[in-house]
Order: sequence, then C-alpha cells, then structure tokens
Amino acid sequence: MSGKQQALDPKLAAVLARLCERRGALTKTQAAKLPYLIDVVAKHVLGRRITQASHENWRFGVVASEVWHFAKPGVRGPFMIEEQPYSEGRVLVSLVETPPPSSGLPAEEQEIVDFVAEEFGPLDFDELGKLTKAMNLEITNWGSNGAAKVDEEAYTRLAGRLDRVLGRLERCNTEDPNNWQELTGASRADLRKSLGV
Amino acid sequence: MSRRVFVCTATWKDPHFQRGFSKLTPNDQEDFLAELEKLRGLLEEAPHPATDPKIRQAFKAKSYGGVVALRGASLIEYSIGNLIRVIAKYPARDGCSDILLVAVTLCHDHDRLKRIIKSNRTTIDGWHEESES
Repeated sequence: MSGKQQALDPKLAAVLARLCERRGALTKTQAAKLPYLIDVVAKHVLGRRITQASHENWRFGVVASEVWHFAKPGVRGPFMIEEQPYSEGRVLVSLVETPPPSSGLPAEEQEIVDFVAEEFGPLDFDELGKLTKAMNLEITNWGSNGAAKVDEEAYTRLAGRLDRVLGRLERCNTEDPNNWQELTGASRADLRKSLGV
Repeated sequence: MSRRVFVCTATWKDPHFQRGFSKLTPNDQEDFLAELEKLRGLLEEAPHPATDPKIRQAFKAKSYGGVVALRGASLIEYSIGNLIRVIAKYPARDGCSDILLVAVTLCHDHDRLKRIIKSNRTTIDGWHEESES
C-alpha cells in the first residue's frame, strides 16, 4: 500500500495544483475525477492526454486512482489534505505552496485545465459520478477498476452532456404512453416541429 | 416489419439541443433533419433497431444494457455525423416492439477549445478541417 501513497507524477501534480488555483480547495472526489475530464478534453483538442493517470471505473464513477491513494490527510508536497468530518466533501485538497507548481504546464494545457475547472468544477460528488458513468456506457461492472474510455466517444458524450439526458430520464416515467408522441411516418417538417427547432 | 416510432415528450424537446441546433448552418440543419427522417424510416422497417445491418452501417447503432434510467430496456445510441447522437429506448415498454426516441445530443466545441484546436491544428496528424459555423 505504501507504494500507492508516493508523490504524484509531476504532470498530474501540476494539473491538480492548477485545479486548486482555479477552484480553491477541492473535494477528494473532484481531485480524483476532474483529471479524467481533462485528459478526455485534451485527447480531443490536442490529440494527446496531459497526464498518465490511471482513470479507472470505480463504484461511483471514474477515478484517477493515483490521486485517490495520494489524498491522505497531511501536508503532501505542495498540497494540504484535510479531513472535514462534518462536511459533505469530507476530505479537502488545497495548495500550501506559493508559487504553485502548475507552472510546468504549457499554455495550451493550462487552458484546458482552466476550461474543465470552470465548466465541470462546480459539479458535486453525485453529479461527477453520473457524468463519468454516462461517458462510459459500455461499462456494466462499475467497481471492477477497469480502464475508462478516453477517446472521441467519451468526449462526444461529455460535450453533449449525456448525463443530463439520463438525469431527465430518471425523473420521467418512460413506460407511460401518456408521455409519448407518435412520429411513425413523420415528415421532415414534423420532426423539426417535434424538436421545437 | 412495421415498428411504431415515438418520442418521449418530457425529454425530446430540449433547450440545450435547441441552442446548439441554432448555431448550425442552415445546410447542416437540413442535413441533420434529412438524416433523422432517414433514421425514422429505417427504424420502422428494420427487424431490429440496433442489430439491423442497414442501421448499423448508416448510423453506427450501439446498444447498451444496464442503464439505470431505462428500467430494464436498452439504450441505443445512433450517430449522425461526428457531432450528433440520437438516443433511444428499446423496447419503448416491456412486451412491445415499438421504439422511443428520448433525446438528441449535439457536441459543440466551446469557443475556448476551438481557439486551442486552431493553434494546435498544424501539429496534429490527420486532423480534419471543419467548416466554421
């Protein structure tokens, strides 16, 4: 186990530091899940990932396992890991060093981290879990620690916010034909009208 | 084979999609609607809405079980180009062969990402030029 608690890879540490700069203290869930979104976006935008983190399917979504094992209470490198027993986030990750070590990121990588921090940083534990699961519809055995997708398919589901679609479906009784509209034989104009576009 | 095609009224008409659609060029909008009409026609005739070869070829249909929100049915994902996905529930309800279209998702690169893509385009092998909308 001690091997799993070693210092983070410098690139992953730089990403985490930049996230802390943009968001302040992160919950452990945000610290472990946002790097996954960053690598998916980077693969789409730059054609390569930023970190080499192991993005694994855990019971509550995709997790960078290195970050999870790293985030034990105490001062760990440039980070302060604090346990908050009465808080929803429970474990918080923040920066203790100034200047932060995120300067190792080239401008284009920093921009991607900032984008993810702003777009997805506000999501909570539950929302990040559902988002990362929606990006990996192929996975049925959540918790098996297998590798998550980091390809265009994952990006398309992320950018199209498939998690929101699934969320709306959870709140809707799709079994009830009163919630259906028939489009059998519908023309192009009918289809346009049905979508409200 | 004649399958009835329905949409879920609570989820099909989606402001998020509508905003994305409004940013497409008129030509792209018409192309999308033409493809949606074609998909609707194939769904009515195909023996199976996910495994039928015509649908698989035209719309890269992929079926997934175990999606909690769908209570025992499968979620089918149809691709229209690289950016658009039509999401369906099959069967629409237990014991029938009808299909329920539940959503369309549109993947738009955020303006900030477009800027990075542009500045890195020359360094990415095999990058496909996209028309500006």
